[in-house]
Amino acid sequence: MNKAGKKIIPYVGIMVMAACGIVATAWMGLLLSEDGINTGKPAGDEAVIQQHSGYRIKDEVTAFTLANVDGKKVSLADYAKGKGVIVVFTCNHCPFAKAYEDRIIALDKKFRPGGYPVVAINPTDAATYEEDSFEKMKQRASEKKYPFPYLVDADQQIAKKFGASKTPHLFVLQNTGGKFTVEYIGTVDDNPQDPSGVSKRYVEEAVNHLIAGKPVGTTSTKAIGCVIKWKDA
Amino acid sequence: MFHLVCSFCFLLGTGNAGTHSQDTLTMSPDILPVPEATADRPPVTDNAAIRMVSWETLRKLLNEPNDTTYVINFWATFCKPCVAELPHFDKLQSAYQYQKVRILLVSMDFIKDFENRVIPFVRERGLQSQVWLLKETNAGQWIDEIDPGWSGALPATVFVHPGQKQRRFYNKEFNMEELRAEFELFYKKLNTN
Repeated sequence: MNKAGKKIIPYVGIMVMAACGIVATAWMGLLLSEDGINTGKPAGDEAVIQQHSGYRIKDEVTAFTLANVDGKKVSLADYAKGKGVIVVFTCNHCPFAKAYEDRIIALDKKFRPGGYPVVAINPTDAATYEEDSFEKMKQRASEKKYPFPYLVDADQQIAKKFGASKTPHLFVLQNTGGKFTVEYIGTVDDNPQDPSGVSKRYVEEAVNHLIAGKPVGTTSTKAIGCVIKWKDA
Repeated sequence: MFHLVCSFCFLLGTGNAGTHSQDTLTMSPDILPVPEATADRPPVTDNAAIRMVSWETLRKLLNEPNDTTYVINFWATFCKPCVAELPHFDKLQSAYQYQKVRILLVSMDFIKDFENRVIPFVRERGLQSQVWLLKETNAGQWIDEIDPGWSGALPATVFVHPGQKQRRFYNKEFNMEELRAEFELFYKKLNTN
């Protein structure tokens, strides 16, 4: 090998190493941007969000049918004669869900007569949390005398469609001639730990606005919740 | 062949970086700021590594210029994926014990569970990293300040270098390899390295 060749080899080496680095980085990027995973970056920061994008405010909800704890099937279409539905993704095991249980029962009691009943859906994988098995769901619903259906989203498809990421996660739907649109996404109120310390009741406010024919003021809120661990993740 | 050798070099490079660079040990043993001494102090704890703090304390840590890189993990004792990944953070701390890297585990357990649940949990598991429990009830007020893309689902982790205003957020559960690789990528991009 001549002198020039010897000089070139280290440079080629460095370039190939750099290329490997770029390929590896790009490959990792591909892994993270698989279908259904939102890798959208907020301004100024980088973020990896493992969440199904789901419905946004004013999106139309597609029909669904799920099994209820009473053994019957419940469909969104069953509510076509009402004004809307308060869909609650919840579960048995999560302390945040437990903390909100009584408040969710109260929401149903308050708004079912006005046309906005609660529909609870449990998307938790019972293989991860045994407390969320169908049997345990039945027990919980009967112990607490749930006045609303408690549906099992066994393959988690409905939670994914909604973009529910945690429990509890609420979606207020408004019905216009059988067409359901999302009007509010988020939490029940601003104090999961202490019902007596609540100052803002987001869901109540949203439903009251809808019943009064007014636009919802606060359309989305955030709170800490138990992650919905995807079976296929 | 060249390609293979170089890929190998690249992997070796990323695998060893961080653990081999010998920073001088100039940092104080407790690099996390001490939270407010009165209102936020838990009534009973003989373990200085577990504290109840306000959001303001965490916000300062995230934003006040400082030469430390923080790995802040949001978890809860009742969250199985969170509990599963907790040991990885202690291992990461060991791997970076000679660098200005600090792990902080921020518990999202309820305030009422601090004494009877969180402290015993941390002791029983022998967690080495600092644990803070946020003495806040309305997470909606601060979730976006951690990352606007965070829904509030646990676990979540943020890598922060407040001095260089660098941040990377993850709303996912890590395995050890991923955590190590992701943190290495972040740490290597900082100007001090």
